[in-house]
Amino acid sequence: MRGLRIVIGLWIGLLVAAAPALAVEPVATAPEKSAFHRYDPWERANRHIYYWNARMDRWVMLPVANFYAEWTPNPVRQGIGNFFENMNEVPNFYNNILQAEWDRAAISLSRFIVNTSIGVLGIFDVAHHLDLEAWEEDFGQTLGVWGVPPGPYLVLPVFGPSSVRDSTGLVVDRLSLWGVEIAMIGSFEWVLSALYPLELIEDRAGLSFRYGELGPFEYDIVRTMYLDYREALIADER
Amino acid sequence: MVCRILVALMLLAFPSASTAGSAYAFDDAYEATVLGTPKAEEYSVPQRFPYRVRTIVRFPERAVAPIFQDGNELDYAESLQGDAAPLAFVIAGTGDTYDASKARFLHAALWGAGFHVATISSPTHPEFIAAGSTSKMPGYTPADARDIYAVMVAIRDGIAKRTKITRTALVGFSLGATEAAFVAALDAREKKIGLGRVYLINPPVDLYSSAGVLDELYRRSLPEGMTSAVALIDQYLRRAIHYFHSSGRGSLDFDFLFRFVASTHPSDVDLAGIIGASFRLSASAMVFAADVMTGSGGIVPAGKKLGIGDSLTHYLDESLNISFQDYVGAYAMPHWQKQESGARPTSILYDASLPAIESFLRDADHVSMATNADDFLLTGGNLAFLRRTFGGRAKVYSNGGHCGNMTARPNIERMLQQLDAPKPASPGVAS
Repeated sequence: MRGLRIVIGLWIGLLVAAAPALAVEPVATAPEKSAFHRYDPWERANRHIYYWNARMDRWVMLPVANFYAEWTPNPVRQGIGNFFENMNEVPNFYNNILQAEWDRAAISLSRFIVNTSIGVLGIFDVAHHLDLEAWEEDFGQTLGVWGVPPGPYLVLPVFGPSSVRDSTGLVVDRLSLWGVEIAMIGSFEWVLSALYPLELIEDRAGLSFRYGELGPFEYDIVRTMYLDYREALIADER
Repeated sequence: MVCRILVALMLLAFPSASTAGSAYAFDDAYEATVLGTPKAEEYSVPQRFPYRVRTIVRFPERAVAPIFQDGNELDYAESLQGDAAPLAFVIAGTGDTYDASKARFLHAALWGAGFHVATISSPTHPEFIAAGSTSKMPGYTPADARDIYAVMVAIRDGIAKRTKITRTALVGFSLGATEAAFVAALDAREKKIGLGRVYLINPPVDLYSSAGVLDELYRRSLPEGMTSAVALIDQYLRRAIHYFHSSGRGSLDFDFLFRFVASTHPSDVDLAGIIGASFRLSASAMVFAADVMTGSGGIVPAGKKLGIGDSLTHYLDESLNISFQDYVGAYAMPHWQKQESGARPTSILYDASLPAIESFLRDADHVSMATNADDFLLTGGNLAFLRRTFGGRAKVYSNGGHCGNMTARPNIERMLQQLDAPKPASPGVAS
């Protein structure tokens, strides 16, 4: 509980600190080196956070996620995954609107209505059987489509690779999502103490990545791949 | 050897990473190597089973730089049966950890077939160099096999305290298979374990010349080295995203990307580039780890202490410029020569290859193997050597490239049968 508030506080602090850097795009970067050199002015801090994320993953997240994956029956896991995917239709919806993608926004809305009602709070993905497929959008992508550059690379506590633009998006999406969850399910305390940890565990259990598996250059590889992946995603939506 | 960059990219980008696929040109050795076995043709492994990451400490006194996160703790994966059972060890392929996808697949298949299973990282992986390697200069197979053997004995002793082990088996794939052969030879002499069955999947006969093939793929297909490789991957990624979006779907998944790449039938130059780049990236991590751990000063200035906040990007650039054969020539060979009391380089390279233990392998009825006629890591007379040495214990599939078919149903079934598995058939799948 308190930990999460601290995490949120940290984000906001980071974003405030990052604001000036966002405004100034790197004009004079060093001469071309390899593809692994990226705009990362806070590299020292980022590498420390990456290191502690790896430790926390090893000590807390992974054991919990492994236990969860081992003991949760598949249909139950599927239901939990569907529930969170359905909740994510909220940011999908408004981000599609903000990008003037009306058809996709209509699909997000339909999916949310159908799955929340017939699909029992989203536990069953009924909309999938009606050929309504999810279209994932986040506010970082929306900002990208609007022409906002990623800014400095950023490693977030718990969440890992991001950029100033994408973490801004993450905060916006997360707060709006929590707003809807509170409206649907109950108190803020309940969302933060039970629902959100479950979402993090379910996400972690679905990811076979293990910190350290790429060796000592993992930070560099992950940075390059993250930034390129996000830009590719946004470039195709412009 | 998995295609690390591609895998890294996918793991990052796609939350539900699982192997999958559709029909593709399996008769193309490069394509099979990169894309692996289509899901429909894969052996079905249990999805839920006890999977524990455990640790042994081989060198309690060893100081390890904090950039190696686990310090002198060597992790391995362990899955036990509820009751007495045989124990199977798996040795991962070049640059892989114990839980890289192919190692994990074998791990799950062996557990499903009734073995206790322990899977260890490749001696070429940085974690093993830091915490498991005596010389900290991997690549000399007899020495690496001694390290693996010591680790296996420690793991076996630990497991034996907790459950009953009826007999012990060993499986290796890619470089792990070559190492498994040397471990089998070592065990026949030292008898600390008394290995029952041993199974080798796509062993390179001679690591040095096989690495030369991969070095050459990298040089030939990627004019600007890793920068070309990243550009190549970006290009596939962009095409996949575009295709995905234009088909009206907005949540990318691994299955889709896989099917997309498969359906585009990438050119051989692109595939060769991905294979070469993935090997070079693993090798760069190995070279860097060896350099830091031995303090040789080749990449990181001798005496420099690297902290967790220090940028390593320019060391990555430098490491990427070193081919595997350069590593052997400039770094490792002097080290190995000292260790082997001044032996000549040619004899050291010979001692690290399978022909050095040919007479053992010829008579080792408990060691069997599988490879592919189109495994491009086999050079010169390598395939003939394997056929001649293993005779009826060798199975040569016509296609599959390097390890591209190792997860296919008949291949895993043969492995389980050769290992005399307690439950050789995959649950729920008629064989």
